[in-house]
Amino acid sequence: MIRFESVSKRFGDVLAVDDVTLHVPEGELVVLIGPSGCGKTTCLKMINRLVEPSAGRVLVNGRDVAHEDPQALRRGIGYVIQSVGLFPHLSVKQNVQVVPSLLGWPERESARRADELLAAVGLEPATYRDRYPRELSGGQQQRVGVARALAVDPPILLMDEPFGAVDPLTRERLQDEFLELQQRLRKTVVLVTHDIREAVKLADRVCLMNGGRIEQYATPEELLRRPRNRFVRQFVGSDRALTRLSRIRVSAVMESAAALDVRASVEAAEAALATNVSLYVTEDGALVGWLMLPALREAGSVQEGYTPLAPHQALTPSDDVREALSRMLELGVANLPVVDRSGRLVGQLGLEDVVTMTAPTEDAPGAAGGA
Amino acid sequence: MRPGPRNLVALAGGAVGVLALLDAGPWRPGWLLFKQNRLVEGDALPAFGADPGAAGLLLALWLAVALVALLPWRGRAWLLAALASTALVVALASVGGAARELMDGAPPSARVSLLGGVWLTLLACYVALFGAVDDAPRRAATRLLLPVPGLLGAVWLVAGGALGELGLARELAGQGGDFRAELARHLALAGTSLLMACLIGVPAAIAAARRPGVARFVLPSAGFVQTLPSLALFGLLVAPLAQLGQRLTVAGAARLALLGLLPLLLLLALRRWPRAATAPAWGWLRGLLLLVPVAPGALLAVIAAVVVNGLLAALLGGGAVPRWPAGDAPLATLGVRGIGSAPALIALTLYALLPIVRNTYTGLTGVPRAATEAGLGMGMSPRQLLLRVQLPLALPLVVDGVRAAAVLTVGTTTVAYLIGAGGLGVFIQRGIDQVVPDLVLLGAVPIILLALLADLLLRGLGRALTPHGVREPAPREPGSVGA
Repeated sequence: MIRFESVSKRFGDVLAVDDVTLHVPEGELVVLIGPSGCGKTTCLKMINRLVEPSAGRVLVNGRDVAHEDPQALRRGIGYVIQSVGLFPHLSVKQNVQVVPSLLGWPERESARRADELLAAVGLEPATYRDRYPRELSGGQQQRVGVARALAVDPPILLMDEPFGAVDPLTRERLQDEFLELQQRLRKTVVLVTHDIREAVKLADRVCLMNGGRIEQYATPEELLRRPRNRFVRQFVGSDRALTRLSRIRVSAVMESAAALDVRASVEAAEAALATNVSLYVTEDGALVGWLMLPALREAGSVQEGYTPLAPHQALTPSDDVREALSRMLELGVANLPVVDRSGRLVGQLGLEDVVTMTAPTEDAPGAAGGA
Repeated sequence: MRPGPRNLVALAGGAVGVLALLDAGPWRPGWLLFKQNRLVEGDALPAFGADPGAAGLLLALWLAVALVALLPWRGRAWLLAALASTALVVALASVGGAARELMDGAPPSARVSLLGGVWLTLLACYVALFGAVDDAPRRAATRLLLPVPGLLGAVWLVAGGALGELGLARELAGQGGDFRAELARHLALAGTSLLMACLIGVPAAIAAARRPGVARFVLPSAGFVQTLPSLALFGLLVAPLAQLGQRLTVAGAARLALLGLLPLLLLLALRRWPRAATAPAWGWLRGLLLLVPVAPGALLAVIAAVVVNGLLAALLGGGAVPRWPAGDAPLATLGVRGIGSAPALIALTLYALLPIVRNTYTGLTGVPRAATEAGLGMGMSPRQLLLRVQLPLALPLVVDGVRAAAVLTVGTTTVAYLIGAGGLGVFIQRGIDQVVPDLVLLGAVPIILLALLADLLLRGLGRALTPHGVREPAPREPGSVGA
């Protein structure tokens, strides 16, 4: 879909991009990452000709972009920048309609499309379409930025630190939502960031750059498990094992949990507790707490003896394992229950499972099961 | 917005109003001056001497203004406006009435002039009304209407002849149709110069904002012409314009102008040819093709300005409609002469350029980088970026530059009479020559009023043209802001 062939870019005496050859397959999300000045943004801007290469070719769909009309090329490529760059004098709707209007779409059609996209990025059209960028929070502006880039349904999306300008909490949420959107739309995305966690979370492939050159171009798992050289190892960080966990969903590693209905008899509970140190207690399938033998004996019934559990003390299948591990450390437990959206117990995650999974064997089975 | 604890502007207005009425010790602003004729020394009357009742009422009004200005009260703006407006009407009515009494039985050559106290009172009204407007909530569209009732009252009094016995009115009557004609010339000169300055300044600033090379030339140039004394500029323009007017025929000028346009057409044609922009000599060629039309363009601009000015003046009642001369007539018949409107228009246009150029440039370069980058990245051409993003965002600043230029031009046009172009400066000079202060005022007062009016109108226009999304904060209900 996008191909860099021995591309170099020189700004005066500085070689910003040095002989980069790179292929971005169709429908994949490729993250360009590296320290400041590594040439990642320059590479991104060469795709839509905001920057012209000094040497080499950039091909989009097999065609050299140097021969395309820059304006036509850019209108066919979605573009999201860090500071969002919404036009302050245009309403949310008008911002989303910019490219359609450049392409001469009829107003009715582009208005309908704008509503559709606002809904897709989680902004109620009726509430937000007539607002102005200044009246939106940073996260909302970012969503409008994404909607605007998708307005004419371009096959390619370029994103320059798209989640850089919002607070960490909102960033997490925007990343999750964008992943969901991307799973539906399957655009070819090139995203620039300097945050390795963001890269690992979002990317199908990561291209780590330094000094204008590619240090390693690989899947996130590969990058984290087999860093090619010292620079890569340093960049991904000494906590790369933890970083890898952030890509793995709880649902991929959880195991089945032993549970007991709250109305079970003391005998049945004692029998069950003979093989387990503790049991989860459910009521019609919904998790309500956990039970241990001494408490059962003291109380004389399951109903009286179990320790209630608040819903936030349980994991959900879509949590990532890094988060789960952090929760275990925080609560000082080696096991956490996993519940679905309606509170039903669906399994549990144990510390041993996490440890076995991250063992640095070359062919660890758990690691391949990432999301 | 809640009003501040004190309205210091209105308080100052009230204080000036009180001072204007006082007459004690060395402080003698006076109220009215009565002279048997233009030449003798007159009798100065203090406010309480001329019309004790009105003076007492004014004193009470100004004290009330000062008191209200100190109260942190929501409706303060309206009360201040009402008090100041009443003061304005009372002052004008009392001056007119006192003048009528004084002139009763006096010889026709007698004159009643306004003294410092009355002018201070008018100043106090202006300041207090300004303070009232300042007090009103920023977003209320009605705030600009606050001074309107007072101004309407004043206009009604003046139009109704209540001030007819004042020296100023007598002089106006004495000048007959001259006043109307010179006022028209003044307006035409200022309006045409402003128009030309916009037509030249805005494109120049756009070019400067796009190319740093042009900015390095345009901005200092606009600043430099502002430093030239008007008299020197007139002197410098007399000879070349006189030569031009005599040597060149109307048809010759037209041919020259058309010839000058050819390089521009060539440039436009070349731009449609994609390979041209990549040719190594393109930069030089373009510079050359743009520089060649400068002289004919300037000539065309001068002719256009003179013609527009003539038509505008005629339309406003300042002379006959100019006739288009025959092709072989010298250009001077069209008005391009060493003296008269041509040099005045050139000088005034040059002076008006700086605020327009500077504000437009600032506005365009102040557009957030993110917005321009996003625009380009989404496939806008430079022209689309300019029209859809940069100009709308810069527009309030552009209009503010035009406002500054308008106020400046209305004032500067006063010197146009020096080069024979007429305007209200004529009366000022006549008043100085004949030692008649009222005649000087006849020129000066309308200039001040015109400048204030231009300021007000263009302020309103600027507000109307400010894009909704960039107006001052319009807070939403608190619950609506979230991620």
